[in-house]
Parts: sequence; C-alpha cells; structure tokens
Amino acid sequence: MTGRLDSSDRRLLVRAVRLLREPVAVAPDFEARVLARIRAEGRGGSTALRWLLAPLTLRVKPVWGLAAAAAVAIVLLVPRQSELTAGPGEAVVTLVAPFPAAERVEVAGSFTSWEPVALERDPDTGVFQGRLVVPAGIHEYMFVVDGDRWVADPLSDSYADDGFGRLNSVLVARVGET
Amino acid sequence: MEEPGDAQVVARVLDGEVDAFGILVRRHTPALARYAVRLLGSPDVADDVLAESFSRAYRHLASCRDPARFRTWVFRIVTNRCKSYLGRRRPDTVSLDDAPPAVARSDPGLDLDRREAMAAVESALAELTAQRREAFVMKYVEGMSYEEMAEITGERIPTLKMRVHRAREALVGLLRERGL
Repeated sequence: MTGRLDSSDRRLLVRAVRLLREPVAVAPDFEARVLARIRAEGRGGSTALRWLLAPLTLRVKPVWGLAAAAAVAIVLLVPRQSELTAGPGEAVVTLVAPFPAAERVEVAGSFTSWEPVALERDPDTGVFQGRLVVPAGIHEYMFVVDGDRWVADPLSDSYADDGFGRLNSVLVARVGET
Repeated sequence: MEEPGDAQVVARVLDGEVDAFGILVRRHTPALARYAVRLLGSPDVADDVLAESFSRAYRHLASCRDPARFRTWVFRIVTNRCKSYLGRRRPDTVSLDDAPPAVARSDPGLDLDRREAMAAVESALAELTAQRREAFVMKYVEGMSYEEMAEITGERIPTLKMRVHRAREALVGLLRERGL
C-alpha cells in the first residue's frame, strides 16, 4: 500500500468527489408512492414475520452439552399449537443467542430484510431468544449485539460470504421441520 | 416557521399522523437517493431500494430508539437494503459495470465534458469492492464521521479507515486509467 496521495492525486480525487456529490434526480411521485405504500401496508409488520417471545421448550444441538444450551445455537423446534403456527410454505424457527454481558441482542437476516429485530432475554438463563415464522428456504442472518457488533452464529451449520468481507450464518428452514 | 426536528416528526407519526412521515421522506430522500445510486449504480434500482427502505422504516419506526438521529437510523436501513440487493443479485442480472451511468438519467443538463467525466467516475467507483465503495461514499460523498459510519455498518472504526484509505488509492488509479 502506498503512502499519502500527491497533490495531483488529491486534485483528481476532489474532482471526482465533487461530481459524485451532484444531486441525483428523484421521481416527482416518489413521496406520494411511499405514502401510498405505507398506508396500504400499515405498521403491523411483515406478515411473514411473527414473533412470540414466550418461554420456550428447546431441542438444542448436542454440541456443547448442557452448557452449550446456554451457548449460541439456532434451534428448530415444534411449536405448541396455541403459540405460533406456520402457514403454507412457512417454518417456525427459534433463535437462541447467549450473550450474557449484552444489554440487547437482535437478529438481522434475509428473513427480516436485514432489519434488526430484538430478541428477548430469558431471565433464568440470560440467553436471548425469539421465535418467528419465516418463509421456508435458505436464509442468511447475523446477531447484532448491543446495536453495533454484528456476530455470526458460531454454531451455525454453514456460513456464506456476505460480499462485504464477513460471513453470514446460514439457516435452512424446511416446511414441516419446525 | 421553524421546521420540526426529526424527533418531533417521528412522535407525530407514531401518534398516528401518517402524512407526517412525508416530512421525513422529503427531508432525507436527496441524500439517501444519492447514496443509493452511488452504491447500486442504477437510479431505477435505487428508487426501488429507497421506497422499500422507507416502507420498512415506517413499519419499524417504534424501534428507532433515538428519533433525533432518524437520519443515521434510516441510512442504516438503506445500507442494509443495498447490501441485501447486492448480495442476492444473480449473475444474469445487470451488473454495476453494465448499468447505464446514473448521470445520463439524473441530470441530462450536464454538458458533454462533465457527462463524460461523471460516467468515468461512476464506472471507476463501480469497480471498487462493495465494502470499499460503501466506505468511500459514506466518508467522501455523504461526509459522515467515522463514528456515524461505524454505527451504520457495525464495523470498527480502524476497519473503516482502512477501507476508505484503500478505496481512495484504488479510485485514483482507476480514474487515471480512464484519462481523467
């Protein structure tokens, strides 16, 4: 890697930045379209993402034994009928992330359009967890710890390059395997 | 009359005044649109991503913990949406390199020299890796602090500084190759 830019490099960069700072055209109806869309959708959240933050019965991967049950895992479990039901083409999954020192943990993934969604801390174990209905298929996700640390699930079965130099955890959600 | 701050507008929206969300859209769209176009290389894709981002911002508005910093929060959403788009783009879709220069659509009034210069700059920017392009645009085009960039991306500040540094060097080389 070279050191500092010389003066002609800097002039070049300044010219490029000046061009890149030019405003871009926005469609005249953009605001109206956005408002029409949010009125139509409401603020109820995605129908594909329904959370139930109730106490859980977990089937944990036997990787680290019981201690690992408090460690990080993504756990697929059978939902109780009264709790959360997957519709056609959907699966119920539970995310469990033990970050006992964290104040909050969220999950962001392809099933949340990469918007962080808060997990709930279990008062007994200190483990953060949440259940959700996701479309069946292959999803990528990460945990967001205290709002600024993006952490892959260390016990995920597989990972995928996110194209930004990090690895996402991969979740395979199968219909009927919940 | 003084414009209401973002926190006041967010409170009005959460109180049920849906139209007030338009204030936030108007206020932040110019910077967000430019940001999305620079990252994605296509005004049409940027329009879609931005509309989707505002829709998500509205749905999750209650989770915006510091409404006075709505701008940073919504930049984070747009960044994630851009990342999601770039991550799922299939090889048979239009690449940044193939995309028409955004300037051709965004500002037909530019003279030819500037138009050509803009096309060269955009094509050089498109050759950067996604993470370097993102860091460069945040720092130099949108003028963000490293602290704000870290909040939006979740990356450490030294990492972001290195990306900006490398992006800057690579971009200068690419611009020279294009005869600027």
